Amino acid sequence: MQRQLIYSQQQRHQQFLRCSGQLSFTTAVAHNGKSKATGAGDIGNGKESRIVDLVDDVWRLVFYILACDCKDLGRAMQVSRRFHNLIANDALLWRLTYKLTISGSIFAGQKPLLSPTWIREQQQAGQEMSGLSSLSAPHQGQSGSTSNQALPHTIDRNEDGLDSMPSNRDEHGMRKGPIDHREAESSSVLCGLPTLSALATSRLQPGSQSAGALQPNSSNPNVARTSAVPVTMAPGLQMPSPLVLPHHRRLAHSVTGMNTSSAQPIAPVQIANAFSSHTSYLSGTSSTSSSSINLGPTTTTTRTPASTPATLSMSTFPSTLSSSVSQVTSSSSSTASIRVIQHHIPSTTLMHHSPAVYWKHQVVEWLEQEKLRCLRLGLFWGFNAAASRAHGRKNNSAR
Amino acid sequence: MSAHSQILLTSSEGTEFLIDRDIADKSMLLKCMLEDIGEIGQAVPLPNVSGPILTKVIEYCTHHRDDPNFLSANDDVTADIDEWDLEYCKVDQGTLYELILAANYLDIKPLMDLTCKTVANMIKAKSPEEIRKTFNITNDFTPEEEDQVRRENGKDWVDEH
Repeated sequence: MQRQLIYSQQQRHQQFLRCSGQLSFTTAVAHNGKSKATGAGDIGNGKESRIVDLVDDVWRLVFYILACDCKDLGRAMQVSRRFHNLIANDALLWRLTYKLTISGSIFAGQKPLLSPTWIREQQQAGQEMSGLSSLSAPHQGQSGSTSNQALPHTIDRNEDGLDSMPSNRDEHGMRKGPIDHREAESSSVLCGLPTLSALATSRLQPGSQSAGALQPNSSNPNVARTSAVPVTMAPGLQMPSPLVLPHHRRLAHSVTGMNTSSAQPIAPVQIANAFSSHTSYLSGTSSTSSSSINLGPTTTTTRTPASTPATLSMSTFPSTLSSSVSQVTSSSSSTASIRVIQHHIPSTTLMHHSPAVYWKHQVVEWLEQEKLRCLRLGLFWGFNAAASRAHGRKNNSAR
Repeated sequence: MSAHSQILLTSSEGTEFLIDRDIADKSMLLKCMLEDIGEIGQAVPLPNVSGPILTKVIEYCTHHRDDPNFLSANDDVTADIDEWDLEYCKVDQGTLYELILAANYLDIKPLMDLTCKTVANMIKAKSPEEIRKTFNITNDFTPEEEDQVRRENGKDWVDEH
C-alpha cells in the first residue's frame, strides 16, 4: 500500500520499462520545493546542497505513524498550511484520530487501534464507499496539491456521516461568526433531507460547497443526486445528526404547536411550558448552558453563545415529527417564511470543537444512554443480588 | 538461476555496484524485474538513486540479508526500532529523505517503514515551532489562522490528553 501511495502502478511500469531498457530515462522522483530542507545527496562532503523535500504521500505515512498520539498530530497541524491540509483533509487520519481519541481518553488502557492492517481496511472501505458515492465530488487525496492555498473547507471526513460537520467556514476555510440567514436556510434544508445517509453523502463535498449545493433554489443537480442515491450506513454507526437531536425536535415540536395559531401572539406561559419541557429533557444529562429567549411574533430564537448554529424552518416541521432523523421529510418551500431557531444545544455537541473533543462527548453521551438502557433491561439485577448477598453476610457477621 | 549469481546496478551518476542476487531480491522492484525478464546480462540502471544513497541501501539490505522476516509484513508500525537500524538512520536530513525516496522507488518496505519512523520520531513531542526549525519549514499561516488552528487543535489535542 505504501509504495502505491507514491508511485502509481503506471509509474511503476514505466520504471520497469526503464530498467529493462525499453524506455528512456527521465527523473521520476518528485521533489517538492515548497518547504525546503537542505540536505546532501552526497553523503559526507556536504559541498553540494540540494533542495529535497518529501512528497505528500510520504508525509502522510509519517502522520499515520504519528497518529498513535493525537497530540503530535495536533501539533503537526499547526506547523504549516501544507501539514494542516494533509492531516485535515485525510479521511483516514480523521477516523484514526477519532478511534485513538476514544481509546486514549474514554476507554483508557485499551490498545490503540493503529495498525497498517486497520488502515488498509479503512482505505479499502473508503474506496468502496467512494465507488458507491462516485456522484459526489472527489475530495480525498487532494490535500498536498493545495499546499499554498487557503485552509481547506470543512469536509465530511468519513463516509458514515458520523461526524458530519456543519459548514460554518468562510471561503478561506476559517470559522464563521454567528450564523447568518443564508446559512440558516441551507441548514434547514439539510435537516429536511430524506435520509441521514443522504445527508452524509451530500457532505462528501467540501464544506461550504456542499452547503451551497444544497440551497433550496439551487440548480445544482447534487441535490437530486444525493437524495436519489442513499448510501447505506453500517449498523451501529448511525448516530443522530448533530443538527437535529431529540431535544431539538421536542423544542421544535413545542414551538410548532404554538405556531399553529401563528396569527396570535405567543403567550409567555406557552413559552415557559415549551422550554420547561426542553430543560426537563436536558436535566437528565450533564450538559448545562444558559440561554436567553428572544421571541417575536414571527421569529423564535434561543441563543446560546457557544451553540451550534443549527437552524430550522418552522414550516418544515409538521405537527407529528418522526422519531428518527432519517425519517424527517423535506418540505422546504422558498415562499415559506424562514424562522430561525438557534437551538439550545449542549456545548458538548458542538461541532466547532476539535474532533477529539466532539467525539469524546458523543461517546460519553452514548454510554450514558446505554447505561440507562441496560438498567431498564435489568442487566444489573445480578449485580444488585450480589450486593444484597454481600450486605446480608455483613449483617450476619455483625450479629 | 544460481542463488549466488550477481547483479550489476548502475546509479544515476553511472557508478556501478555488483551485488549478490539475494541482496537485490530485497528490493521488490529488482526482484520482480529479474523474475520477469531474467538475467539481462547488463547493468540494471537505477536513474532515481544516486551512488551514495545506493551504497546506503545496499548496506541495509546486506545487513538484513539473512533476516527471515525481512519481507513479511510488519503490522506494528509503532514497534521499537532495532539498535542497528537506529544507528543506520543517524544521517543528515537530506540523506534520510533520499533514503525514503530510494526505498520507495526500489520498493523495500522495511527500509521505507524505518525511515518514515525516523522522520516521525523527529516530529514527536516537538512544538510546532521546533518542527518548523527541524524541517526548515516556513510558517505560512496568517496570525489569525495560526491562532485559530492553535485553538482548534493545539488546546484540545495537546492539553486535554
